[in-house]
Amino acid sequence: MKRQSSDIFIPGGWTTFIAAGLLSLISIFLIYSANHLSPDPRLQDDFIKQTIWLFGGIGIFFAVALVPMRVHEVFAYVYYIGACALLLGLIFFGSSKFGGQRWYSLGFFSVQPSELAKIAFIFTLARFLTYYRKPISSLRKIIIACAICGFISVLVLRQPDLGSALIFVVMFLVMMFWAGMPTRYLLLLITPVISVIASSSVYSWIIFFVVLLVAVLLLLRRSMRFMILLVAVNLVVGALSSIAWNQLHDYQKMRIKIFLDPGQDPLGAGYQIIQSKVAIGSGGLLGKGYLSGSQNKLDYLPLRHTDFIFSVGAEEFGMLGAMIIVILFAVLIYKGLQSAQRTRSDFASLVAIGATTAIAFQMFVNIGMVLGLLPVTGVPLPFVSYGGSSMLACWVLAGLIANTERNWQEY
Amino acid sequence: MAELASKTSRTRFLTIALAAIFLLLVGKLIHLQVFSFDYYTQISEENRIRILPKTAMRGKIVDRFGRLLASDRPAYTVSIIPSEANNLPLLADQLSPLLQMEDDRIVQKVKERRFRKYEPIPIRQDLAFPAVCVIEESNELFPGVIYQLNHARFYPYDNVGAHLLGYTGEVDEAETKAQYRLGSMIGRAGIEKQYDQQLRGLDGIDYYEVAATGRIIGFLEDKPNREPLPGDELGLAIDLDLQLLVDSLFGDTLAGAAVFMDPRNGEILALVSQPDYDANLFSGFVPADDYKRLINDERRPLFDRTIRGTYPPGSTSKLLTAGAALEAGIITPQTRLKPCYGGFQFGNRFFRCHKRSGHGDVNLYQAIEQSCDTYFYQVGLKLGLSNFKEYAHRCGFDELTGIDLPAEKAGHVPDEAWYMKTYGKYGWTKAVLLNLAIGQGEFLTTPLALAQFYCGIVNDGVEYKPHLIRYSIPPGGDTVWTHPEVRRTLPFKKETLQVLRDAALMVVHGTSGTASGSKLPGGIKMGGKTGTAQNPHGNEHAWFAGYAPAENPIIVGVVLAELAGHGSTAAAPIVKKVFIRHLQKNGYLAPALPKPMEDVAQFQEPMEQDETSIE
Repeated sequence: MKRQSSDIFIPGGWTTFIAAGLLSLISIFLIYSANHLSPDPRLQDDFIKQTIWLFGGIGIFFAVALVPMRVHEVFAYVYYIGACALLLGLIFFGSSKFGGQRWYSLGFFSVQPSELAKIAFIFTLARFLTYYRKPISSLRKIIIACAICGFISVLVLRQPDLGSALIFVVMFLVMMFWAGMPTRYLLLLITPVISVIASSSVYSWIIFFVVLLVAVLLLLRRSMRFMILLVAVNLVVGALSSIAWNQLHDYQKMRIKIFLDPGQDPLGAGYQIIQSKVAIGSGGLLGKGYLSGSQNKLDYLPLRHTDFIFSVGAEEFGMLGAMIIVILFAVLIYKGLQSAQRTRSDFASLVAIGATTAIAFQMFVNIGMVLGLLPVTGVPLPFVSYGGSSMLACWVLAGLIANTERNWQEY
Repeated sequence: MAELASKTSRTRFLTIALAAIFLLLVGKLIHLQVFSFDYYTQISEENRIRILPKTAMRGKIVDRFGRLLASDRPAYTVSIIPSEANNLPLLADQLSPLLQMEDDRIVQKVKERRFRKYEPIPIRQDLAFPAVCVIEESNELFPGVIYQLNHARFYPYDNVGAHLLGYTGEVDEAETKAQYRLGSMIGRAGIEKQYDQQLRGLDGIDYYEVAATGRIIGFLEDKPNREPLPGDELGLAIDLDLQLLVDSLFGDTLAGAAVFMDPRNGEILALVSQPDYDANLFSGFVPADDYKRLINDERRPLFDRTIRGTYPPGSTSKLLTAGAALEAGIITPQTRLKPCYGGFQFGNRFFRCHKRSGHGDVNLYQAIEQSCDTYFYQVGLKLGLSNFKEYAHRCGFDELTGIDLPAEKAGHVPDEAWYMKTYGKYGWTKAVLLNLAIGQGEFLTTPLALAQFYCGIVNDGVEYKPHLIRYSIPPGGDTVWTHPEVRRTLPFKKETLQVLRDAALMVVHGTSGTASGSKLPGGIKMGGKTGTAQNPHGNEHAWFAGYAPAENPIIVGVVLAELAGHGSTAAAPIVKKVFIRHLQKNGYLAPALPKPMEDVAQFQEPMEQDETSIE
């Protein structure tokens, strides 16, 4: 170990820092644009608060990038217990905002423990997968890993926050994949879920099943037994859920659909999606100009400084602005993937891949939502949406990527 | 962890997956911003998307023979679209006389939902047709005002069953959530509230594209309209005939409550609280005067006496005292206590029996038959407060019956702790027991809870949960039947219950029974117990609780007549007449010769038009 990890000026980590920093700067400009005409003076000041969070975030970034990973390796389980305690505490002490208990109110600042829980979860799963001396394909190891993920995501779901809970599941799957879990196990975990969703209509389920059969025949020819198991599980799950689904009456189906995708409720979130699409579509190639977005200014865009901030950017700066945001994310994610591959430490590698997944998935879910591709969930756009907790948590994730990038030679 | 050593193939896989995600996002961006640019630009320039909800038909409510008790009728709703109402104060001023609303209220309603500029904000439900015509004819005077054909709740029998059916009202701002948009109706009381989720259905949606002038261009391209789904039809256990009969027996002046139920399954056959109100008043638009009048009426017509009124049960609860004493082994049916000489001396106070000349030497059967207070004073003293509390509690007198109506209230059974808290350590004596034993004092019950207790007595101790809904029919679906649910089992042995039933039979059929004037015709036996509850505020309340036929009861009835005097004269005759009608309908008694029934005849006309819905 020749390098001193306290040396800021060693190469590596700067690309990550610049990409995250540019996204945060864009965020401040967009939040100002979104709220500068708001009748509520508190909203008008949001861009100042976001600037303060940005400074906090940069501080945290350097702290995280410089503290040796070994520290987190030691305290991983402590983080997990702490995060779970905070989530449990929400049930009793949380303040409810927008119909769900997601926040701790500290007066000047609301803490959202599900953001902390994400980071704690990454450390914990990485530590467990690195230290538990059994092959990743052993059933016991998989079950314990599932329990680590299941417990914390149920606590998040309890708040209720479907979007955040999904992030845990996706991080779990990607980290397990990264740790070497055989593809067939992943298939066994993922395909029944898709089967349930596809079974809402006969056609989509047939398409799903054909794709599954082709994939299975191409990929899993070697293990006949597993192939049969996988197909059988999907058949049974699909059949059972379609039977259950057909027992429901039309209005019950509609209510479930609205629960899973509020965008289907035209009087509620569906209206937001229409307006978001109008904003983005009317932005065109170069946009309507800064502070000139009509959808934005005339109040059509809902939640535009938080969940729908991307629409503000796409309306005012057009395709150009939207692509800049997307490309900055691509750079960040590429750096994360690269550092995860390069590092020699298994723990750091898993942490980096977890952090990258968290950023990538939230970006995909948020931008997919405002474009009308994905269901409406309250997932913010990393670095860009207004919010202290989210901003700080994202900078921690970036710090973890930078840390791995810098110290790739360490074991 | 050797697996991590070779990460190249995994990296390649993730890179491909991420590339696919980015391609998807960029593709959609191109689709929106390049190919659909003109379309969205046009919309954003004259951003006029009008979203018109189509209210779903609320499910109808029918009685056990399919006769309509509540349904929707067409009604006009007037709404304002804020983006098109340029001068709101002026508009409100012009609309005010037409809508019979104060202009402040109109402005306020629009301001509450201002941020959805292109959605109509319902201002006035159920506007009369002439006023709608004025709006239609001079619509240039009212920019941004539209009217829609909608529904208002309609109760064909006006007052009948008003408390149990409840009523609907407009949702207020705090309740507007996914399913409850502003202006939609929500059940506010009774069945309408309890089963709101089932009754309300799911509203439909029309998306219009509207030009800057307010002219509708057509439907929006990328959002298909949604058709409304009507709500479930609910079938009640209520028999409209019995309900009407009870109403007519109570007449215009008598206040009180009546509960008739089937002890074999807990179905409520009639549930009446008098005085009542016209549930139609609340559907749509409630004129402020009418509402105030109802609220301030001294007779409290809005108050549901059947499930929320708590009264001392009077002597009807002597079956409870007797059952508890028999179970506790304090007396046997043949036990004779100090004879009744018109009262009982306890300490320095003389507690009167209702019969001043006294009942003489009686056993338990005779004490119940003649409702001898003196006998029960002594039983109460022997029983003790904690025993009494325990049995009353286990018989459910301080619990909810579990009926499928909102806002049910539980009765009250005091115990030692309660007396200590209320009156202090020296503020009360064992004398309270004497009162409790004959159903007076701080012991309170709702008429429904008393009916449930009598159902338990005649049904071998098994009490079913009282329920109004027999079935529901979802739109296009199969009928879902309600299954009777056992609520509790009385803490009485079979022999004890038999003693109680034998004694209750003597109340009606014994030579000196207190309800001997209310025998049923045709030799059908009926059991019951009269009661007279002291009322500190005035005249006594009359109770009667009974069941028929005594051998195998199909109906239990409880009637409470407020301020009406003695149970045998004011309450028992009502129960008797309802029993006769029910027994006739079920083939136990020959139907009465058709004779004109002044009060009931006028109600029977509308029934005929609904006969198509009977099977």
